[in-house]
Amino acid sequence: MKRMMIAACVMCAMTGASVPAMGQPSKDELKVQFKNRDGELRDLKKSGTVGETVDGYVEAVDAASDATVANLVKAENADRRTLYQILADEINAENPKAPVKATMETVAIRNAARNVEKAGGDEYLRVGKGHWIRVKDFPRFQKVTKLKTQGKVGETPTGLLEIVKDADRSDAAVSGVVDEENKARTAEFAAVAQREGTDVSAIVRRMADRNAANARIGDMVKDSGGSWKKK
Amino acid sequence: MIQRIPRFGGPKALMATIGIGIVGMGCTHTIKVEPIKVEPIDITLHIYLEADEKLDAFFGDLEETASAGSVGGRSGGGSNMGATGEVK
Repeated sequence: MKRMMIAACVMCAMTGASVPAMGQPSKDELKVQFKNRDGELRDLKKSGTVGETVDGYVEAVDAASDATVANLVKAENADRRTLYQILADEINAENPKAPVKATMETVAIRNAARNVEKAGGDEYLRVGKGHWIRVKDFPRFQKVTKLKTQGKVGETPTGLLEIVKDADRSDAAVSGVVDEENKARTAEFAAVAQREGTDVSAIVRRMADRNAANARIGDMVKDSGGSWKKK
Repeated sequence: MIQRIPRFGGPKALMATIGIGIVGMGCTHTIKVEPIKVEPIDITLHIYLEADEKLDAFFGDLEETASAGSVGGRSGGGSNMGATGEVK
């Protein structure tokens, strides 16, 4: 029996087929598990309880979700992780001379892009730590991210986005994105404050802190003294 | 009769030599053969395409079944979050 197992593994290795690690489900088993979970997961996404993340996994939108949701998310992510690794191994086995190897993360990111494409506009997408947006707002988020990467805009203590250099203020493409983003943010600050029965300034502070914390290395962030600093 | 054989020398010859030198320098052809570079972005793109194909093949059946079974696809649903990402 042991000999047969070894022979099977050798055959798989020779044909390039992926061999699941000990205790890990095979691709077929994963497919069944994804299918069994699909309906429930779909409903949770529609109800806004669960959302996709930009790194290819799912997460409960409200961290204090019930145990059933938490378990479903955990099981889904464990299976996704296994699948990503299997697919990365397959790609590497099929392209042994490729100078860049596929990784679990590469496959995960591609699946994230796929899921965003297929998601409904009102479903949620986690774009940063504690930062969820609706899928329909993702194109605007991408524009803002691009401008941040270019150093043209940055986060400020007011919770709003601001143009960094005066020279860029006359650029309609930049100011248009900033205006649209800030309009949406301002409306949301007021809505959250009303819902929580708190002052808008408290929400602004919370959002500003989150945005500054989530800023990537190289992004411009304005400090409380009004100076721009590169993170 | 003694024929005067033109001599090559003097300032005219010097000028001509410098002129030929300058023209000669200008006519030097250097053929540089650049090594063929495979840009990392192409390699990454190739891996992305491979990953997309694998994912499509894996999830294809599942998505077809789901879209056939659901009315209105995956869109819609209630919203408990706004533009800032703040959860209600």
